[in-house]
Amino acid sequence: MKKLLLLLLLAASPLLAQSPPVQYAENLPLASHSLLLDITATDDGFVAVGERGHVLLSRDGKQWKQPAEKTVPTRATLTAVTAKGRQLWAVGHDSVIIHSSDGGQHWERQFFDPEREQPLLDVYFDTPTQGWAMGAYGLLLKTTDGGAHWEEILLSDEFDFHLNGMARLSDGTRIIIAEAGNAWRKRPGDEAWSLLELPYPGSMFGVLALPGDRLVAMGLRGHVLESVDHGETWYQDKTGSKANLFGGSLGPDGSLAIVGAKGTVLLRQADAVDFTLHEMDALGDLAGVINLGGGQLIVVGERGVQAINTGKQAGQE
Amino acid sequence: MKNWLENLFFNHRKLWLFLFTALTVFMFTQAAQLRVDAGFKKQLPLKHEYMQTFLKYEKEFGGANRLLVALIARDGNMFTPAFFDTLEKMTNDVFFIPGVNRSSVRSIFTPNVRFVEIVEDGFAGGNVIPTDFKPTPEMFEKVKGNIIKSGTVGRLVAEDFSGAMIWADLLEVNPATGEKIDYQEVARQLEEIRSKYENDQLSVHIIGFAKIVGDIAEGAKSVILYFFVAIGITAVLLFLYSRSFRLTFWPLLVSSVAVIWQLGILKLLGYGIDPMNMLTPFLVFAIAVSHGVQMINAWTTAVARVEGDDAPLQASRKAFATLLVPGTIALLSDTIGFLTLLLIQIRIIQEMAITASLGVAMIILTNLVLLPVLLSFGKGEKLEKIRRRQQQAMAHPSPLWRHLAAFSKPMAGGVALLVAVGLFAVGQWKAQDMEIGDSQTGVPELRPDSRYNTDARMISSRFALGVDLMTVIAETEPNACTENYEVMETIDRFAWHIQNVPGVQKVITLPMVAKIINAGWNEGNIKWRVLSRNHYVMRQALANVETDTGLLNSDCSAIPILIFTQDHRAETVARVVNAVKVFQKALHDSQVNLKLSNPKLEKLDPEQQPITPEQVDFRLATGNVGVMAATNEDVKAAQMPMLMYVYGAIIALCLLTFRSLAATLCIVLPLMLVSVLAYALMALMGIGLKVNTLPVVALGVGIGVDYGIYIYSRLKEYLDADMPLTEAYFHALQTTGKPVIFTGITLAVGVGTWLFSDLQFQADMGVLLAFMFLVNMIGAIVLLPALVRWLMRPNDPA
Repeated sequence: MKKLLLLLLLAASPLLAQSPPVQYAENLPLASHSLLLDITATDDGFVAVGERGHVLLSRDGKQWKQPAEKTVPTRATLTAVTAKGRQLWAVGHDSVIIHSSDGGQHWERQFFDPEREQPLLDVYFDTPTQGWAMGAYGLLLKTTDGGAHWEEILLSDEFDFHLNGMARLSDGTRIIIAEAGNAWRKRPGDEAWSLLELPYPGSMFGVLALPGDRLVAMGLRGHVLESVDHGETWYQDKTGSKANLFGGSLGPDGSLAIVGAKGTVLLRQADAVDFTLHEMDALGDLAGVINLGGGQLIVVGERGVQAINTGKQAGQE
Repeated sequence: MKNWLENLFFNHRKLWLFLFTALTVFMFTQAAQLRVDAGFKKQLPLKHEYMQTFLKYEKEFGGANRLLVALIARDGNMFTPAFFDTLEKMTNDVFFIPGVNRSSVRSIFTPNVRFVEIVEDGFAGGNVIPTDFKPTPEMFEKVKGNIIKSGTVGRLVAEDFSGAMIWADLLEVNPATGEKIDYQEVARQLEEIRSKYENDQLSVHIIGFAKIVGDIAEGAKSVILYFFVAIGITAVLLFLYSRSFRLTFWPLLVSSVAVIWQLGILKLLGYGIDPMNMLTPFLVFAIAVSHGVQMINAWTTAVARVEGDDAPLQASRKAFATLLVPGTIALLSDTIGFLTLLLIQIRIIQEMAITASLGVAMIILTNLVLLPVLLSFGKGEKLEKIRRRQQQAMAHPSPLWRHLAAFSKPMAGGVALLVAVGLFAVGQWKAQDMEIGDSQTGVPELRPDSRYNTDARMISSRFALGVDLMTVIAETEPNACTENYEVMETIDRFAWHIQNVPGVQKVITLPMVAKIINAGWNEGNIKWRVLSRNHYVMRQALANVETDTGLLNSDCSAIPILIFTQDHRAETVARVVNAVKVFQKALHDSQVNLKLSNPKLEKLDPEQQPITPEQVDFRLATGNVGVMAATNEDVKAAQMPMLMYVYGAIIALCLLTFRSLAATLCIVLPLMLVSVLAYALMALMGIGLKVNTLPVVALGVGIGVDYGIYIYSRLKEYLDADMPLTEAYFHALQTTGKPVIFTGITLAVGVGTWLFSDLQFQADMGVLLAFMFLVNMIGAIVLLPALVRWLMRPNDPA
């Protein structure tokens, strides 16, 4: 009897050890000024995520609030967020994935594995049920049930570079941009992912699919790469910047905004070829952006979330 | 006893005179050797737990006794050859000031200030000023970039690039020689640096404790001047009062003797005189004059009543006998009042307590013994004049005494008491606004428009950080910063909580730096700005963070959290301190709860353990704001007990002397009103309760009780002779009331001149003391008789 008890206890011990009590994100007044790493539009407005499990919600992009105390079940740094209607997913360090089905007011933890030491760096959902999360050392996770179950996908045995972002084209082609000049592609009908080599050997940190199935990737030291042939060939844009570029956003007016370190903001109007470079040191390092059009941006970064107007012409409209 | 003492002194007058003279000469030679002795640690409440932290980490992190020397380009652009040349030379000059802890010197020219940047294949870094520096526009561009990357903008470099700063910590005791630092010498050398480099293009701004001491010592020279001004004013008024050169000269002389003895004894005890303590001798002088006037008044009153050749001696004996008891009691109360200051565990206040109580004790000998002995030698024509005038005054009393005596009648007295109660209520209400500690930028000891405070404002407007700093030290296990993620995470979370406290400008700590370096190792990707759970990654991240950054000690068992605050108002300081305590407590509580709810956890997997208080302890606090926090707490804690002891002592002495509870109340109640009103005045004038002003309160009570004791003991004499109250009070006013009113006004005028001092704290003390002298006097003259009427003699004819 005693032996049985001991056995039971031993069997239970790894469980006990691996599930320390959930640490909820803390609500503090300056949360909207903390390091925020991604922002996205939702049905109810906007949501931004960042360090210490911070989730910030806003209707108008100006007033930001954390959801109620003890609703965000992580204190890990959240690196990316995505929305499908009122369904939200955010991912981050400690391989955490959290999900909200009410526009960000309440969250549950879908995935959490600090032992891996593999932070998740981006999340992408095609539909409210099918989605992807990716991150460090080639970690790629897939769900087909809205995140209730996540399945790990092995891209390749040797590949251990970081996966930094995903985009999907209208025909279903997927691109994952990665560290050190690497990218992965999977076209409809492909059995497996195939490795692409980008013309620049540095890392790309973000990727977007623009209208007309144009791909734009942004990354290390001011590099912006574009492809109009589903990632087959890439060309390099002139940006005039040497700052790391982390994220971009397409505006309702068709303009493209890309943001990066040291308050770098690159803007390209819908029909233009060249970017206009704004270096706004006071904004600090920027990680993500929502482009509202007309030069109006909501940016997130090391100084939190800030609404900016990149040009006087926008104000005169 | 009284007779025995009287005979002891007056039967051997010449012998005593000789002894007093000899002693005074000896004390004078001692006093002449007194040295100015300033110290930083003297100002700290070293017993306070915060200061234990300061002492423990002083060598490793320094921080509280810091000098900031700023060089500002008048045209707003620091990128000129002249500026860089001057800054480099100034850095070297500061480095070589004796007493400066050389490893602590920091400017963009020192090797302990570095920058890092991220390039494709990892990191590049180096000194802000490259070794091949030449003052060319390209190089300036590069240096500007390096400055931004080094993260020193707002600290070592002005936010608008209009200037730069040198930081240096002072060591109070030279570790090599064991010699104590000479602050005035440091201040002198700083002034030298200023005059050497300041010109029409560049301005130099210096702040720090050493500079404060220098400027106060400079201003304290004027204290001597005020001393003589006050003696002059007192002499003139005394002459108008007594119409006699002798009666003017003797009290001033014996009061000076008291000061000389006080200073002599200080020297004999091995103390120096601190610039912050310069005013104490003057206070002793003022109190001595006040008692001297009582003595000459008692003596002239007696002279008017006795005839014959030995009239002066008889009068002296009489005056001695009359004043011995009330005078001694009054002076003992003063002494005890000062001694209660010993309760405050700050060396400089304790020195003041000893200095002042010694001085007051000396007055017992000089004014109650030496003065009547001196007066007893008077003779001849002048004596006759004095006697005649006194007789005339007694025959034709001033109508003023009649009017004032009315306060002993039920009506007028009742009204006076009602007004007093009203004032007490208003005072009590207003006194709640009194702040503990300081509020302005710069230092309250100096005038707001003084060079020092102008410099302080200049520096805090150009540089965001660096003027007001509180450093909390996280004590943890060795190598925690790389080997214990939980500890680093907790410190980081702590920093974030403190950042959220209103009034906190910025928090800087090792985990923040580690996060940025970690992102750096990941190509500068901002998404990697996290603490890693991986020990190897953390070791790599922190490998290049040296201890001279001031962010960790050699084995990483102590990690300071630098909290820059917007100001050092008591409210702000208390808020930050409270936030630290709340966090620490929550950490402890969550730990306890976890253990209770999950007793097995510990045994199962020690690596998964959440943080324990044994693993990390947030210790308050060093930095100048840390010192203020400790001082404010000590002052606040000492204030009530101090008043209790002062009043306790006075009440006990009064009970012993007069053996009547009602009499004691009559003396003590007006004092309480004045104490409350003094606090209200401080609140109204924005004077905070702090090291410099705390003694004034104890002092005010001490001085006030003198008046009450003198008046009551004389009143009692007449009452015991079966006079009805109003009549008795009329006579008491004529004899002791007169000198009380006179000294109240004289002393108030004397300290009133302090308003014009270069030193703000002298001006503040001047206002407070003048208020105390006057209001205590009014309280004794108006309220005491009213209280006697209503508490002791309600049935006497009016």
